[in-house]
Amino acid sequence: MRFSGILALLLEGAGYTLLVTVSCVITGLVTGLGIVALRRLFGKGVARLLALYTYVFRGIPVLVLLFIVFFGLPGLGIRPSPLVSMMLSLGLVCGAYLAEVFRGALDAVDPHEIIAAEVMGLSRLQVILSIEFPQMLRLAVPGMLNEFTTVLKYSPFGYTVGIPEITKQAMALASTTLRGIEIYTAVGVLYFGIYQLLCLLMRMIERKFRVPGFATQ
Amino acid sequence: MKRFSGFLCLLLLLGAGCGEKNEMKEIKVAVTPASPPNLFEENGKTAGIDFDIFTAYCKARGCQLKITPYDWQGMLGAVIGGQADVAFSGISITEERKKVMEFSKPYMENTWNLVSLTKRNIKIEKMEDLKKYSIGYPRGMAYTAFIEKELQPKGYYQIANVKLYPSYNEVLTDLQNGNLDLAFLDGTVAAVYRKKLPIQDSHVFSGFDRFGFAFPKGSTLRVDFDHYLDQISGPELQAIIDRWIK
Repeated sequence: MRFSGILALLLEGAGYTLLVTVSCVITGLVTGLGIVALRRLFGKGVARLLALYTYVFRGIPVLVLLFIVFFGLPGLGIRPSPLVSMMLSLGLVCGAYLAEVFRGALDAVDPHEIIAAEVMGLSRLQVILSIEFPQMLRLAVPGMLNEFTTVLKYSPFGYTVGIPEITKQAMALASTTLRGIEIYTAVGVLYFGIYQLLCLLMRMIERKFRVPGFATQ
Repeated sequence: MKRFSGFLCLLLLLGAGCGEKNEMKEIKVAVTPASPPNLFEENGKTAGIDFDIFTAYCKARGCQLKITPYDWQGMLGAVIGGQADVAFSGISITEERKKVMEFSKPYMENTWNLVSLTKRNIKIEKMEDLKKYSIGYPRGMAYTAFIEKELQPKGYYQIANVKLYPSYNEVLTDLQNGNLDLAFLDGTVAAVYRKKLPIQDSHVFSGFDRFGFAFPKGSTLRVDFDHYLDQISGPELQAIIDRWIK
């Protein structure tokens, strides 16, 4: 088999890797932001429940959770598809980690701004959406990028539930061609490319929430 | 809306059907395409002994195969969990596996070969010599039970001295790098790799391992498939196997 053919098959897998990564990142972002917002909006009871969620989901290995969701839930009559299973395991774990990243960033928002906003008559939700979140996201960029790359590198678990991502293609190709070193080098390059895409996405978020003349370094 | 539903299909990825209507019965198949010659991919297409046997069965019964590749754990999990109707990729019939899944009748006798690099020219004449060498194979293989039950009690080899790897690729790479003396390979796998690598059999164990197609517990498909295996057993089945091994 020619190397161009190998690369074409690996690229096919890269599409699925990207799909898994982006779906799980989106699930994580929604969950993480949701947790932070709910914690700010409601009282101690809810906050305790959310703290329990992050406590549990940060502690369970992704593969264990994936097995529970994909192979365990059908026993209860729920049959999540492979991608949904990834979102419910890797995505939710990512959400728990992001919630903690956001919590740290949120603490760095100047409390006087929040008081000022409340004095201006902004509702709690308005304060969160227009004062706290934009600043929080800006401060959370490095932590978020860390988390997203972790998700990318956990994406090979998708193969365990039947998503033919890069690692699957690499294993199948290496077993017949015995050109493992070339194949895995190409895989490394592809992962690096996807990592670059994630960096680009983060730069876009950074630009969107940048305050002109403030913390531009 | 059409575009949206297409997007949903993509999202649900292999989810339930997406409105496709198949008149022929669809059989969900779980495979691990890293097990030549039983199951592998050739230019991105599934191929191999197991695939040919099951395709022939499906042709005879008028059904369609929907193949999903998993890693080894995932493939077995899919059969146990019922995500797949059948799994095949050179799966050994073992007592442990029989507790959680059903097997067809054995369709292939497999040998276990200890191979070494041709230039090392290791020959295991007496089992007592085994101790002198390191043995390696992929995790989760049936060799572990074999060593524990057959070799360890007789003092031929200690399971603690085994080197475990993620897959055959790493085993053979380490063998070539000189970090490993002997690799445990399926006879079928050894036949494939012998053509591409300078390796030779140092010892062959036979009569311990047979391959079967794996089905979920209580599968009616298994009953029918066993009937089919009975029909083709003999020269017809051997012809399919020989096509890939010789």
